[in-house]
This record gives sequence, C-alpha cells and structure tokens, in this order.
Amino acid sequence: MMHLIKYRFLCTMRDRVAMFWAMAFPLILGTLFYFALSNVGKDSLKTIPVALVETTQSEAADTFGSFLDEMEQGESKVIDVETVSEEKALQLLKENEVQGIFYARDVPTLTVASEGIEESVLQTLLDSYNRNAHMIRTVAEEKPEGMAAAVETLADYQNLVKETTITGKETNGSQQYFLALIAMACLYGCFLGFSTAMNLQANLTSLAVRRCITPTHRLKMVFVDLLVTFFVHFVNLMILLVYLVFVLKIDLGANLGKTMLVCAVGGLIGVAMGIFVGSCGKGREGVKIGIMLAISMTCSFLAGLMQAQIKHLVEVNVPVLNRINPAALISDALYCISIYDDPARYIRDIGILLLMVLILGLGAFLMVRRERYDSI
Amino acid sequence: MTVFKGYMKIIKRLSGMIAMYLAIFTGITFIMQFMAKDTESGIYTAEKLHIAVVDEDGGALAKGLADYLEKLHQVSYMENDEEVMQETIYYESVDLILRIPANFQQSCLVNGQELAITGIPGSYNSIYVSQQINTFLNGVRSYMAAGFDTVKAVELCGNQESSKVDVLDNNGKMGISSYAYTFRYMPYLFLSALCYTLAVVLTFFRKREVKNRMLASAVSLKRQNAESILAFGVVGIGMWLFSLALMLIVSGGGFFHDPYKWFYLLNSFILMLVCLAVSFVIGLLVNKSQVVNHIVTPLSLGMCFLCGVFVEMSLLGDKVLRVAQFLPIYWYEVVNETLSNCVVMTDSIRDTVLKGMGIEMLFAVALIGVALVISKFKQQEQ
Repeated sequence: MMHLIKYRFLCTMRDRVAMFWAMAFPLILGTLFYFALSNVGKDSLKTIPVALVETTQSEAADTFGSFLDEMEQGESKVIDVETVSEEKALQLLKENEVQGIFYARDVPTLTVASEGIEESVLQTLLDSYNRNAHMIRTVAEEKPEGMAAAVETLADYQNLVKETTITGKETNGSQQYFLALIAMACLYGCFLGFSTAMNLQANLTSLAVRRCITPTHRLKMVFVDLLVTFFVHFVNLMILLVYLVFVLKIDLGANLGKTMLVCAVGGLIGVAMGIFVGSCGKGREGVKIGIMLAISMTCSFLAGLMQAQIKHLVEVNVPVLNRINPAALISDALYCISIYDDPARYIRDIGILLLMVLILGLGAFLMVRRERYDSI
Repeated sequence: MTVFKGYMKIIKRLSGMIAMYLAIFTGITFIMQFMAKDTESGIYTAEKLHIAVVDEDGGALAKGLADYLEKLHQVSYMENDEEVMQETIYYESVDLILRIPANFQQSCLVNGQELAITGIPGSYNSIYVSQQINTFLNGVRSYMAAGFDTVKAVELCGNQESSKVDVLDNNGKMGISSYAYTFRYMPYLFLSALCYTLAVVLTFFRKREVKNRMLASAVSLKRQNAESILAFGVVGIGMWLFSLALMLIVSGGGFFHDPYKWFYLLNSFILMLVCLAVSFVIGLLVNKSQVVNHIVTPLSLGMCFLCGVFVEMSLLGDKVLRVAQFLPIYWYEVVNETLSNCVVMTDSIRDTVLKGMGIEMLFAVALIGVALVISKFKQQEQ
C-alpha cells in the first residue's frame, strides 16, 4: 500500500502540465488580481481640480467665490480651486489639467470638456448654489415675513446624510474575484483527476497497461489513486489559501476552518470531475482536456471570475444555474463565511457540492467497472 | 514558397485555438460596446446613477425626496432585507442604497438625525448623491422655516431645474468613444493569439531534424528567412485587420469622424509589431510546443492586468504603474488613453502620444535584438 501511495505521489508531482494548472496558475492569477485590483475601493478619493475665472467684480461673484472657498476647505475637500485668467483656464481644461471652469458672474456658470462623475459633482455644486439663490428670491416674493428665518436656516447648513454599511462590514467588490479564483482553483483539480483516470485505463495509456497486468486489486489501486490525487490537490489549495490570506492579506473571513472545508469539498468536486471526464467515452486526450477547460472556465466565468457582477446577474435571472454550478456554489459558500454570515446557505451549498461529488464518482465508477481487455 | 506554406500549414492546425482567442476578444468587445454609454452625441448630460430606495416612512417628505432623486437618477425601491441589501451592494447591482427610516420628517429635519446611504466604497457616487440630498433637505428646511408647509416646500425644492453646463468646443466629441475600448483590449488579442500561434510554429521549425533538412535544402537561408518574415507579417497584419474590422462594426462608422484616427491606427500597428517581436523571443526560448501555453498565458494575462488593459489605468496603484512602465503595453495604453480623453490636440498632448509610440518602437527593436542574440547563441550551441 505504501509503495503504491509513494509512486502515485511521485507520478502526480511529476505531471508538470497538470500541476501547472492546478497549483501555479491560480497563484499567478491571484497575484495579478491583487496588483490590478488592490487599489479598487481603497484609494482615497482625489480632489477634483477646477479653475475659477472671475469675470466681473460684483457682490454676487464674490459670494460665489467664497462659496467655492468653503467647499475647498470642507471636511471631504471635494474640489481644488485655482483662480486664473480665462485664457489660462481654457488651456488647462484642454490639457485635462482641470475638470471644469467656474465663471464667477452674477449667475455663475460651469464649462466642462467631457462628461463623467467628476463633472456631475461640479454641476451639483453649482446647482446647490443656484438653488439657494432661487430660494431667497421665492421667499422674498411669497413669504417676505419668513425671510429672516429662512436665511438663518440657510446659514445653518446641516449635513443630513451619513455614509454607512449595511451590516457594519465594508464590502469590496474586488473580493468576489478572489472567491471566484478559489473556485476556479478547486475545479482545476480536474487536470489531476484526469491524469489519474487516464492511468487506470489500459486502452488509453501504456502506464495503465502495465498497471492492469499487475496482481494488485483494482479497487485498491483506484482507492490509492483517488486518495493521493485528492491529497495533492488539497495541499495545492491550502498553499493558495495561505498565499491569499497571509501574503496578499485578502479578507476571507475569520473562520478558517469553514473556509478549509469549502476548499476540501471543492477540491473533491474538481478531482471527481476530472475522473468522470477521463472515464467518459473513448475521445482523444486533447478533446477531453478541451472539454474540461471549457466546463471549468464557463463555470468560473459564471461565478464572477472575469466580471464580479455576473454571479448576481445569474442569481436574479436564472437562479437554478447558481445551484448547479459548482464554482458558483464554492464562491457562494465562501461569501457566506466572509461577507454575510448565513449558516443555512453555507450548509445548503456544501450539501449540493457533496451530492455532485457523489453523482460524478458514481458515474465514473459505473463506466470503468468490470472493464476487461481481450487484447490491447 | 515552401517555408511560407509550411508556416501556414501549421497555423491551420492551430486554427481552433486562434478561433477561441478571436471569440474571446469579439465577446469582450461586444460586451464593452453594450456597456459603454452613448457618449457620441456631443451634448452634456449629468451622470445618472442607479439608486435603490428603502422607504420605511412613506410620508410626503420621503416621497418628495425619492421623486426628486428620480428626476436625476434611475431609482428603484427595495424591501428592508439586510441580506438582499448586502448582496445588492456587494455585487454592485446598484450604485447606492438610500434608507429612509420611519418618522423621517421628525427625526431628520427636527432632530437632525442623518440619513443612511450605502455606496460602493471608493467612488464619487456617495459624495455626488449626498450633495444632492443635502441640498434638497436643507432647502426644504429653509422653506419650512419661512412658513411654507411640508408639501409646498417639497414641491418648491423638487421642481427646480438643474443648472446648465456649457461644453468646450470639442469637435462633437464627448466622453470616451466605444471604439476606444476595442483598442484598449487589443493587446490581449495580440499577446495571446499572436504569441501563442507564432511561438508554437517556431518551435516546430526549430526541431533539430526539420532544421537540418532545411539547411540541406536548395532554398537559400536568405530566402528561408524572408519567407519566415513574410509569414509572420501575414499573420500579424491579418489579426490587426480583423481587430480593426471588428472595431468598425461595433462603432458603426463613428471611428471615421475621430480627428485622431490615424494616431489610433498607427499605435495599434506598432503594438502588433511589438507582439510579433515578443512571440519571436518566446519561440526561440521554448523547445516544446506544450510549454508555450504555460508561458504565453501568464505573460499575456500579466501584462494586460498590470498595464491597464483589463482594469482602467486610473484604478491601478502608483506602484503598479511604476513597474508597468518597463513593459511596452503600458506605453500603448498611455497613448490610447491620451487619445481617448483628448479634446484638443495641444503640443504637450502630441508630445505624449509621439513619445509613447517611440518607446513602443524601441521595445520592438530591443526585443528583436535579444531574439537575434539568442538565435546566434543557439546556432553556435548546435
């Protein structure tokens, strides 16, 4: 038994192609995600540079100037104002050095070069100023007796909005990419499972021919192969987990035990899928690898590997797909641990995954059992 | 043309893989086109966000606030279910959730209790909407202080038009055109498809027996090299034309009106040359065709992630960008982004564009130099 385990282990470790996809590729992709996405949602917002052109000397223009000063010195420092001549302001706008030009006139105006959220923020600032001016006029016309109270309330401008989180935990959309990455790594165990299946079928590889003529019991051989392959893949996933949590500092929730359980079940699914595809039909090796790649990549894509929002889009439109997609189930179980604590949903995900492992394992067994070769 | 035909024969064998990369690129292009806003009208429109409102109050003020936001944004209503709200904001299905508590008027306007909003962290969305809500609520407060009742105050605040925004004379160009995205993703196509295909072909031709047979043939070395370069050029230009055709299809001819179209074309052509040089180096370094994929996949994904192909450059950290400066794709994207944001081509913008293209060319030349050294070294080894 130990002999079988040792050589199966060596064979698996020396299968460089399978090990590349199952171990190295998720690590590489994780590093790239980290560098590319680490800034998303974390970077403090930059202030928006604007130019101020003082065209006329009037009280209204001065008031607008001091309004912008207040905005510039406010707590969140939304804008950074530079007072310049009109010619210089236009030059700055053309060269994208400022996002907009405020003209301090009796009725202030804004000029921008393109449209976007920064320009819209500038427009809202102008709006806020113009609205107040409009209000003073309306009150003066309709309720002159309330003017003093209105002006007093206006001067006592209150911040009535507070930015909060839903559950007290700040979410970061880029986290979904890492959850989907772990799901992909789990499924990539199919390459290891596949080579195991190939080495058990004497009509496919010469190694399997040699193994089939030994007196070793077939069940013992299958059991050892599965055990070693699963063990190697689980170690691969643990390396990925350690790398993500301790090196890249990705928050995967406090309960590492539960996360490891998801990886174990996810690893099983990957290996079982590889064995199933490897045992299925008499297709060429290249074709079967293509099928596995297509399945694992499609599942990972739908779980949000390339676009985080896809999984939610599927949940809203075709929820059943998220219940049968192993990558979505793995990333959903991880979501339950790290983002929103929902034990019932976690157990449901793990349950479905185990059921899938059982179905795939049974399917593979039915296909390879009692195989006899008259001649190879 | 035996050598050229040999190249084409092997490329034909790899057509499945090439088709896959072309399909991915086409898919991304169409998705980006679908998601890109209609920004080619030349008329300024304020940013519209998707806001979900949880209204637990239902009073005149709450309704007035929601109606006011509806004029500026796309508003939908949702239940006060923590799990659903968390999932909605996590997957960014909405830009912002606004929660209006019961007894809103008393708690907010009288007691000064703040209204809770939850946005996607690190975006201007929260600032943008906070300003609008604050303006509205403070306006209502002031009107009410002047003696108006709630309904009238809400009406007066809600009915006011937004300020007009002037747009700089911009040749009808507003925001980023949809074809700029196609150009942004081109490096992925060229790096993955071109590098994979040509590197695999080179490994076939570098097999000792094939090489020896070719050396013993009547076709001169000069002619063999010329045919190799021709094959590389045909594949590169073919792929370049494919991506341009796709760009024209999705942009619906809008590209022809772009004043900087020639810069875009030249930049993408230089990119194609850089990728040809990269594939040449990989093909010379790798001996087995199976290993090519192990190098090309991380290389293409790596460069695309770090140089702003998959993730917008403005979202990448400063350190990442500093490292990316040592990669040719970074300079391609710098030129591309400068062109797509450019309103008027000033001297400094023209300098940035030409400098970027120049550096790309230098990378191509340097890579070919490295390839020639490797090739010489390997020949001596044989």
